Amino acid sequence: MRTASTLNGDKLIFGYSVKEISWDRIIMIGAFAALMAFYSIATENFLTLDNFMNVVRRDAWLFFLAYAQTMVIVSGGFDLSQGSIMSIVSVMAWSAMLHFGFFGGLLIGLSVGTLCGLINGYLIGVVRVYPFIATLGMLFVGSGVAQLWTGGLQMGGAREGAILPKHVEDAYVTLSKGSLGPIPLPVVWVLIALVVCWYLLKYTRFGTYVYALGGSEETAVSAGISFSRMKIAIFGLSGLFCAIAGLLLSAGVSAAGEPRLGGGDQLLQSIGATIIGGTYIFGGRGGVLGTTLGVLLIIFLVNGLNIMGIDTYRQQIIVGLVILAAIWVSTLREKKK
Amino acid sequence: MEEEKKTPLLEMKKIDKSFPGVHALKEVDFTLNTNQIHILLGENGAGKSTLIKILAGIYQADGGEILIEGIPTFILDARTGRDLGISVIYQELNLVPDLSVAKNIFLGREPLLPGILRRVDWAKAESESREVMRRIGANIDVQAPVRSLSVADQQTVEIARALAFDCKILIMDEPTSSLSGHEIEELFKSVSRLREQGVGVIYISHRLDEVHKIGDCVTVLRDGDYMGTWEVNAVDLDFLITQMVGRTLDEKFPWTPRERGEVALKVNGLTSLGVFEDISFDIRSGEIVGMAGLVGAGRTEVARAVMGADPVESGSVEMTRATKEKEESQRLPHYSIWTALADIMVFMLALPLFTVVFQGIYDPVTLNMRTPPPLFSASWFYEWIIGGPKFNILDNPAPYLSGLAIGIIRQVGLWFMTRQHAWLTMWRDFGIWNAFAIFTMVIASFFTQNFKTEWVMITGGVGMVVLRFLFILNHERKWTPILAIRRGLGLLPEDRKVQGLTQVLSVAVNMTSANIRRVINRFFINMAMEKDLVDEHIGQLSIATPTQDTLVRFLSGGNQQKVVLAKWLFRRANVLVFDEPTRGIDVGAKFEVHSQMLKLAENGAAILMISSELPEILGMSDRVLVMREGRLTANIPREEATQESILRFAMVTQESQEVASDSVSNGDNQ
Repeated sequence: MRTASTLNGDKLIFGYSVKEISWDRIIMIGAFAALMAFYSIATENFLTLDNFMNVVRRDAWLFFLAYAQTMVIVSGGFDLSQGSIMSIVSVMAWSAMLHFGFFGGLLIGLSVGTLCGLINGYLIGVVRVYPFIATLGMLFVGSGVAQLWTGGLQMGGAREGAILPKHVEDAYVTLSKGSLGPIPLPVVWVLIALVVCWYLLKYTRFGTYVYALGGSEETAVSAGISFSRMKIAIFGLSGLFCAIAGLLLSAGVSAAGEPRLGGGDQLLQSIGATIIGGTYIFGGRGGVLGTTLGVLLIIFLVNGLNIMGIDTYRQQIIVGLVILAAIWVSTLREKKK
Repeated sequence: MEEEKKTPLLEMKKIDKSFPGVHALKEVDFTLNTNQIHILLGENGAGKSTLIKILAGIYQADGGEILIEGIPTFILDARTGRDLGISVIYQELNLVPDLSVAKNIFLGREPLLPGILRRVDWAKAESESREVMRRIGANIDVQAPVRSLSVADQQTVEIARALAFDCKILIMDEPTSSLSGHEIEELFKSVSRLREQGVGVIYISHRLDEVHKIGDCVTVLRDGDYMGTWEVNAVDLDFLITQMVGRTLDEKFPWTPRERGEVALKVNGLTSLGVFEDISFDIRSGEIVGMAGLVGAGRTEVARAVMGADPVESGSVEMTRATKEKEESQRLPHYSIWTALADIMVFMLALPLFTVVFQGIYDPVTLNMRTPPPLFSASWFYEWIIGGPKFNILDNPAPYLSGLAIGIIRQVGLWFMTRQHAWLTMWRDFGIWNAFAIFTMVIASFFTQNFKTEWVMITGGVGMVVLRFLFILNHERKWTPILAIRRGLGLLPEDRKVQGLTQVLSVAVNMTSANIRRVINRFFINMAMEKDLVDEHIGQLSIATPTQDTLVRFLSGGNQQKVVLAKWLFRRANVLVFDEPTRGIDVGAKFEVHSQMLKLAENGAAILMISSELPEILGMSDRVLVMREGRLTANIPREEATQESILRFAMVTQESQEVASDSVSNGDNQ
């Protein structure tokens, strides 16, 4: 179909019209490569397979949060409750595992997360609360419930007191620490999630409607797309992904039920990765491939700074500046259009 | 057989529709045949939109019946309308900009591949989209995102979408309002092709010259009344205009002749690309100038630009108030070598801040000051980030040189990125950098205790501030609402509930908000004085409010309008722009607003009144300006203004007016 020039007479590079090349993506890949090169030269321990595997193993949860956030933001929403859902899932799954074993706990954890997401979706899609407000409410309620559940204390892990049966704890830890041949298990989970999200967004009606809702809500609704059902589905999915992220992170911190698990900057990192990945903050544009790059950029940026011995406070400043720069560049490009 | 053929595609009989306070449609008949382009004409508010909304299922008629292919039908909602084969292309495009053409065409009914994965068959969607495009003869890449298409092509995509729905009746609401001449030709071609394929097209237009170019039939509505349907060949433009106007002029307007003073407001060549172009007029004090035109002609936008609320590409607004204030016009400040130097200096000063923030300047282990890295050594760049330099330009010029480089790179980069107005952009964030530099000075002197550093910074900072003031003194100020209000301009916006008033605040607060200084005594608001002044204005405008502390949202529309007016009187504004002053106001309050307007003019105010109601324009104005499609097309004195002449200037392009007058004179010769 493609010939020497497109219908508009655009110049072609490698068979693609100039307009089709995503400069954002190229800039980002370039920045990522430059970052990796800099760290590789500046430090000894960065460019090792061990380091890479460790980083992805430790930060796999961020991929899940960021994929969920990407879908929510593309559809024109915002999910602030991700961290809280992680906390709830962490403590509830731990408690459930005490009574129902590993798989029972896993199932209950995932259901609780999905339920929180569905409640978000109901508030947004049916009651028509703004996503920002609804998920802000869920943020407070969720973290409150998680802390009330355990009296604010960590369950299991390094703490004295009730502990999981050994085989349950081992199974739980394997989620994060296990390997499939040479590949760490978290990498497998992330790859599965990536493929699922990518397929959903690209090849299903659901994905098309996600983009349509974010691009022009009015058009989508007038084309017969149900606003309420879509919002419930999207936020429910987001809840499910947050639950997976919560389970992975809990498993990573020696299978504990930690009520403040998602109380840190997890939410901000997921939003940051989504935006760095080229997803437009007001919806309609973006995707999980870009978000994957965004997550990689953030986790390796932090990893490299760690290896260089730069403290957490300065790391936060640098990550903040990188996110600002990404938004600034995308705003400039937006203005040009 | 022939009898059957004559069954019209669509018949609307005695359609009646009322809204609270308005009888929008009075027993309107409308008939559409296949292979026909039927043009629907009417003034603002004549009921065209209501009629098509009933057809699309957005409104339901109160009376009358709709027959589609001879079968009586009820159109319950938008979905039913679509299922019946009725498609509407609204004025504002209804597409998702980031999805591809094919995805937009099939949005909401994507074909699925068989299988459990519920994969969408995009290949099929694309080939069917191409097929539809071929049918209407369009040459559009169905994989391209809609965002990358021109407006005309986007409109074609809408048409294609309607066709893919198997539409029999296509309604187009002013499709050419945002198209250029060539694009209009293209659109007409595809609409004609549709007609050949048996689609009935209802075409709503404000451009009278399109009637003969594309239409088969024309129906005219006036104030919800059905005026008639004609073959286009049987009628001419003058006939259509007389059918459209003829609103009764029984309303009373308190107009009296007045003396006119000096020019109070002068607008020169105001241009905002794509919105309005080359708008020039002036208003004398004591004069009421009406501005007529169709909705969307750019009148409100001009008012906002005059107020300084929206940016313009070129042109100026001058207000010659009786005070001795210097005349100020709107000009872009240009960037000189001095401001560039100042900018670079800011960067030189701001740079040490980064080093402080990132690394601190004390060695974290020994708490001693670090020694600067050797200049241009291998670790120079690395040390610039990691190491803490002293802020002594002689010991370690590296950060300063880097700052210089960053400054220059940013200048050049900005210029490349924006190409135009880069210097203006620079100037706008200049203030931020100024604050940044002062902050740097404070931080740096706190950390370094280095006299030389402080010296460098203080001189730099002071020098920059001086340069900044030089810049301000050398350039005239941009025309902004603040400046406009200071010169005595007041805007009573169209959407007074949102733009004119703060609904949740009291009458008194709303009134004094534009000029709070008038009631401030040194540091505090003088409540007694405020109360007296507000009472005075309430009495003067006879605003019906229980107390002056009543919230504005409890007042009626007319009284709210009076509060907006009182706000500007409180500010002693002497040039007032009324945008639709009596929209949504009952008759009694209307008369009062008009009386106040007149009283203001008698006291020497200059008034620009934008209105969509021709009787109001004719009744109140001393002079009528007419706008059409972003251009000022006429400036008619009161004596010569008639409904016909205004409507002609508002609806008919200049060229076809000339053609029409030519043909008339030819006819006379024969």
